[in-house]
Amino acid sequence: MMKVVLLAPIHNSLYARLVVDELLKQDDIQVCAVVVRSHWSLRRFRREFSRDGARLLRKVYRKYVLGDARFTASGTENLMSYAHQSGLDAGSLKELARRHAIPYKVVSDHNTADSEVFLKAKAPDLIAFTGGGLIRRNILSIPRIGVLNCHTGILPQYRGMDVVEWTAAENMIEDVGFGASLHLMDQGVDTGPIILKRNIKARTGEDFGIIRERLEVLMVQLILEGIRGLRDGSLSPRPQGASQGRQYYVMHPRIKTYSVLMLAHLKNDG
Amino acid sequence: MIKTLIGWLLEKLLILFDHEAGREDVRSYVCKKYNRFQKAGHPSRAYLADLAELTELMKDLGWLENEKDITRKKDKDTRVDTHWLEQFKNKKAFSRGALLPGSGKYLDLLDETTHGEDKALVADAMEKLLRHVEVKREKSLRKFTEDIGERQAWLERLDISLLFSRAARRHRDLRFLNASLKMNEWYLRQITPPELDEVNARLLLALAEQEKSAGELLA
Repeated sequence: MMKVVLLAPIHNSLYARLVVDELLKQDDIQVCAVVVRSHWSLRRFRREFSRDGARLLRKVYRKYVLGDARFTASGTENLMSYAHQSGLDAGSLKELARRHAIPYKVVSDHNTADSEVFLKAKAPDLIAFTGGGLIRRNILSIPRIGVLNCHTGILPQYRGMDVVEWTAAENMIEDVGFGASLHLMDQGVDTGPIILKRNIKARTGEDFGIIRERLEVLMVQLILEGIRGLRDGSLSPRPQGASQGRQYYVMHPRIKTYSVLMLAHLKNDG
Repeated sequence: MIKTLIGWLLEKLLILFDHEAGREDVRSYVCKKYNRFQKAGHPSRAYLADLAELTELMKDLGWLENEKDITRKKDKDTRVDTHWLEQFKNKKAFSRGALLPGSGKYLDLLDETTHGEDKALVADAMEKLLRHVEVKREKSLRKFTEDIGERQAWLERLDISLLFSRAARRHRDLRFLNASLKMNEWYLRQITPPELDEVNARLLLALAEQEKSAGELLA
């Protein structure tokens, strides 16, 4: 039996809910706890605002105000349609945990002593990280196999932030492509050993919002496939070469505008 | 309905608070300030070289309406300070968050000219600086390996911005332009008058270099 703990950024994360719900359907996988980062404090808001600026307000609006409703205006390949197909009907992680008698904990930060003590007591084989800040060494060292993260870019080439847009800005849509990479986290930024990676085909007329929604669906699929593969022994982590990729950072709006133009120039994929 | 209204209000607020300087804003700002330097005449030796370089850049960018200029561009000094070079080879140009003064200027020179083993050292130093600036943002480049005073500190920061803009063109690496665009926006907010001084002259140069890179790489 593989013991998995899930770490989530907020209580109603649809991505986290889907991962838990799908894991509960798997043989020989036990979700032994769900740990959620608590709502924002003023201190955390100030820290994140100084990093992200105004885009943080958009993120807050989408996640906290719109919640699942943010998908209603978009196409069919998104987490909401996936949730309908899979039969997910729990509106929060707390509810999902309650229904299945899974220990549920709220922490101010995933790296606190409180979180560490709780996780150590659970002695998981794997931690599935679905968001909620950086994970530090004290938590990384707890699970037997490691902490799994799904990154919305192809590793090792595109590490860091805004990698969907950077792929377009650097005219690498054909050569590297959009995709997601499942990897074990280490102390670097997206530098840990890779379990799985997969591309999605870019389609003419799509914007970055739609591409990201498609990638979110892929992330759920990869994380499930990865956990099953690690359970079975059919997948094993492959280290990344330190010099193989580059780190990318939050994109300046002028470069973002350029990346949108580059995406728009994408030829029909036939 | 309420959620839609919140979203609408948010977008309006973001237009107010999230305005970044576009190419035309930068051109207008640089030309206005450059004209003030021109009108003042008798540029100080402290910023004569920067103004000369700026004049050349502005001509390249098509920003000068007439060819009259007050300065002649001097040949660039390609000598690297030996003390700095020794520290650099010991990986001390940027170490523990502290910048060795002169690093912007000398890394730029080495990045343009050096080969072999030193090239890898330059690339490593620049990657570390890039990461530092992007992670620390407006609080970046506050520590130096020696006490240099506020004026020199600003010149050092602007030299890093210049390094990044030029490295972006040299290596066709948009990440460096990404950083210099952000740095120059921060510095535009932070650098205060008096305006006709070497810090402001260097800032104008940094903005012009940024636009030269943006013009080439974002075309």
